[in-house]
Amino acid sequence: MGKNNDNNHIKRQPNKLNTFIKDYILLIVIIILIIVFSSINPAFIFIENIFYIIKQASILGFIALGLCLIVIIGEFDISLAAIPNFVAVVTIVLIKYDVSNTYILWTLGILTAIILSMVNSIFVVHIGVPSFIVTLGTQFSLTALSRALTMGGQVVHPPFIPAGFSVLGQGFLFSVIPVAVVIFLVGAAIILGIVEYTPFGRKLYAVGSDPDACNHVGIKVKSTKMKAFFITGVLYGIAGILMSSMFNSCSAAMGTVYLFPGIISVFLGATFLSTGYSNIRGTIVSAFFLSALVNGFATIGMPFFLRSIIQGLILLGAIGYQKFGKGKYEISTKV
Amino acid sequence: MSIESSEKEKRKNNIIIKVENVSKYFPGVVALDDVTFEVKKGEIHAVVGENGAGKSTLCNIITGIYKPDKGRLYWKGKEAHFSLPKDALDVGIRMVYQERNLIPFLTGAQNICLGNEFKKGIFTDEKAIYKKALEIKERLGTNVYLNEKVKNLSPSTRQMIEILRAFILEPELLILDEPTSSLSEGDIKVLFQVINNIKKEGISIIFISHKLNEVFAISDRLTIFRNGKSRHTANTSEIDRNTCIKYMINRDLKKTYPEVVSHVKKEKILEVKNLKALPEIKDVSIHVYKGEVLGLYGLVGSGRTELSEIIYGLRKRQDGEIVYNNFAINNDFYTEDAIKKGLLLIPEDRKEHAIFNLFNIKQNISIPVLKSKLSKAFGLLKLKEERDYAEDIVRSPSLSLKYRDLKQSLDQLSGGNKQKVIIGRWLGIKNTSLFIMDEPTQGIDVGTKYEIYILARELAAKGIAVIFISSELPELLGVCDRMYVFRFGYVTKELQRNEFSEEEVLKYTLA
Repeated sequence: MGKNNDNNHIKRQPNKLNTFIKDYILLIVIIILIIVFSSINPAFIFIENIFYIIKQASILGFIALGLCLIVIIGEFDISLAAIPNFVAVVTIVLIKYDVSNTYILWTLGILTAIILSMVNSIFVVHIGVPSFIVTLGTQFSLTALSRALTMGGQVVHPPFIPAGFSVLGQGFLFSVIPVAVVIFLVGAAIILGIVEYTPFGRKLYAVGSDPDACNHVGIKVKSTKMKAFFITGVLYGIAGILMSSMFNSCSAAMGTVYLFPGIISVFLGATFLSTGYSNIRGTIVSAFFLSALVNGFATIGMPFFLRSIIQGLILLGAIGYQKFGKGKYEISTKV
Repeated sequence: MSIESSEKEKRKNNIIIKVENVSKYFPGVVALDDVTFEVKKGEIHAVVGENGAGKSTLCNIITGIYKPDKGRLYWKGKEAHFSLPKDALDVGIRMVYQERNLIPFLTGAQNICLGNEFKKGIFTDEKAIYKKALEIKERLGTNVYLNEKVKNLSPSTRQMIEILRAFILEPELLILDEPTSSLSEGDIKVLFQVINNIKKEGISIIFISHKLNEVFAISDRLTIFRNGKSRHTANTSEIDRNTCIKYMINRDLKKTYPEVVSHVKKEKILEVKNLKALPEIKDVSIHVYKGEVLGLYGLVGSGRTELSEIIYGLRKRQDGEIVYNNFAINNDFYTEDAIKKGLLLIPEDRKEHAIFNLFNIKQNISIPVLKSKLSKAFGLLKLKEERDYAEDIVRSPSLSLKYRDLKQSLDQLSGGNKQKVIIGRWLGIKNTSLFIMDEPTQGIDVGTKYEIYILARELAAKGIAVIFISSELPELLGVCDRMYVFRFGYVTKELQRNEFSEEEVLKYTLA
């Protein structure tokens, strides 16, 4: 087939080494960072620290996966940290008021996140408000509400936490593997399966890439987007429960540490395997990368402001790199 | 001896640009292969060829976007090296692109002077801008509104402004890339008038087009490209259409259209009665038989496309009845239902309504059947079957897609091959009874057009009804069994194949 191909717009194809570096740049950087951090402070590669990083990555991972779905359908969600934060506040406050049944706590936590995400989706999908604006509104309202529930932003620390509840964030499977990590790996595998290997996942990408073409092949844009917001709600809910059960407490600001890394994970993920668009695999890898990075900065004692600057540069670099490398990379958020 | 050399000198001066033995390679593809091409001063030189023949690469070399891998470029007899587009602009080469690059919320005059604004102190001098635009407009003898925002202007006016824009700095060579692609017959006449005025000023024009009749109407000379090579250059008056096509596609095309053997059955597959969907459709009644290729002809805005969108469930209506295969289509009818019932449509706007830019060839083909044909337990995709499914379709003899890899992105394919992918998307659906093709040959090379005509006839031979919508009357006359003529939301005439004639149709098309 190749020989009688007569079109002249084929792009330049780089050699194998270049392609390899381009595809796996994220993993290469992770390895370099691990070497750098552990040579500065050997505590970085202590097994406890590594599990701590992975545990952190599981909360960040659920948040980033949730945002990733929204970005795939061509929208954006800035309430990615506020919703899990609110879920954490709700569960801890419920515990404080003597709700001790773990299943009820889980159900109510996840339900809260689903409802909030569906509120986002109604404004975005049915009323047609730009998603950035809607979710910015949700973010502010929820942060304020969290503050109200925590009596002006204090750390709420209930005297008694049901044992079944804290297992999620603090328990170990076979006394070595953190339960949170297992939950994340299972959750990530399910989301990966849904998004990359089912017709529904293909629809998500289709809706985000060309909504007009979707109408022409019988894909319902609105309901597909609603479903994405629903799944995102579930993921945010799990993230929120992990948060509260990991720390046995809550505050109105505990989610903010995930805000920026969550966004970066999704866009950095687009560089993984040179896909050029946000995808699940890349997001998972990036979430681990960012957890390691944040933890590494702390272990080598880097000043707080510098960490934020570096994170900002990574975000700009990831998007710029794609734009530069591909020449056609577009972030499909409508701001 | 001296006479000969001065003759040669004169000839040399007469050539404004010469491309000599130029080659351009892309990985795996020779885009231009040892091409020599020249344009005389003050001539209209048409460049024709199928998609991917090398026309655009040639223009990109002339305008300094690409550097040639081999060969030389001469500007007015002197060797030129355009390392940047700016170098070509500086000597007076202007290209008017196919896609519009105007700023919608600026006026015509502001767009014309964009980047070269007149200033009064630190502010723009709107009066001077308008004056300059007016001057250019009058010089070319056009009639466009300069004070209206571009977003309120018709496509033809926008195209004209795009051309006027080239005159803000004096051009010596103007390249027009498919300037007529979105214009009506009347607008094309006006455009040609303007092009002739430009020519009278001694400015050379390279006119790129698919449409041979336009090339014959406007150009002085023409060069035919095929597979990256310049195949033939001739004075337009000394070459005929068929010779031209022969050079373009390298096979003797005895007929532009396939033989029409009627397979029309008695049974109606679709009946539309007194359909009303204002403002486009006022009162339309049509019917289609199984095994029939039915043509819909009318000017842009006459209601053809809107009708097809209502039938396909993309648009609502106010009144009227639609019965498809004994099933009443009402306003709750959705495209998903249409596809399930074997009612398919290829949209007019391929880029916006058909192609998924994120997806490769395989995924663009499999998208409508993922759930019905390519899923296994737990709703997971059968990825291997998906590949086989797409491969069967693109390799089927009626499609014979030219591609490198099923994982190739569609933006690497020519217009004709893109359209084949879009058609292929529907070929795997087995219960098809009605296939609507809205402008299926728009922006497609002659060879692929012929293949699409054959495909439409093949579908009809299988008993499928085909509604063929087109603005190109000759192709409807060539392919259809029967046709309806539309005007301002009404059906003005129904014609059987034996009544087909261009005059008859036009009589009912125009008011």
